[in-house]
Amino acid sequence: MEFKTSKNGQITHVKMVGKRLDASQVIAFKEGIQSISDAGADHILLDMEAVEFMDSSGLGALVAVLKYLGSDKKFAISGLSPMVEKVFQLTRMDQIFCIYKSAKDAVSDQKFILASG
Amino acid sequence: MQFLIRNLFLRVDKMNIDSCMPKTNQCQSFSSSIQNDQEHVVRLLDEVHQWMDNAQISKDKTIDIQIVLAEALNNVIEHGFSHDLTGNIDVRLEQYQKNVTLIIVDNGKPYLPPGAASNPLIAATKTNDLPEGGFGWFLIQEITNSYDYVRRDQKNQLKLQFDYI
Repeated sequence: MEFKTSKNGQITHVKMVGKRLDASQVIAFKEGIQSISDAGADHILLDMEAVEFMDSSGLGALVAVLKYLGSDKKFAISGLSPMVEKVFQLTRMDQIFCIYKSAKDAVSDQKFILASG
Repeated sequence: MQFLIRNLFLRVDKMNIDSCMPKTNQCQSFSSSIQNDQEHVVRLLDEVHQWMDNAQISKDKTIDIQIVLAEALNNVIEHGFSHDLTGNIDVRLEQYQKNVTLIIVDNGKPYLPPGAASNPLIAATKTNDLPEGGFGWFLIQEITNSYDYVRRDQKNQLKLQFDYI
């Protein structure tokens, strides 16, 4: 699975390139994010702007990443398409994850910056 | 549980799963078949999306149908067959006036849809308890107005109804 990563202070901005996060992608996705974390990322902002489709397997993969990062590393998500947003809302997972409208909003949010400092 | 099963099959007996819509010019339909492989699901979902675009089905309905179709197909592929590419799954989508019906027929193992699937998130009290799965039937029930299942001729037949008023 392809990601584009960049550093902004202690936040590693991980931009998803593919259009899908589904059952066919979840193993590669989890391994990819775990590798980025193990390589030294402190806090991760996952930019899902390119993702047009996510099923419950994809949602499960995001939960797995949240658990993997633990309490020391902050994990936020941005750029949800209407379809992806609906999966979050229906499952109430929008109350569990830190979600921003855009990556720009996340980076400029003082709470996220302070939590990441 | 026996009561639920009996009710499920009673409901199913009353319907004709092969022809659920009046045959008029106002009824639009899509049909396709795939083998039990996740990559085939991706291709089918793209085809269905394209068809819904062409049929001018609204964005909201399109999202609902995509979610339900993906979850239903994932269930069949994950639990219905012992080996990839050994089964057949037929998908039919019909739109009549403001109602959409999705019919999925597969020759995999029998299954029993849950009577009422609860959100697996309810049981979680801390991050490590958060569920990584079990959302499939919950999402299907949240979105559809009704669904019926029957096992007939060694096949599973699942009919999902979306009513948009």
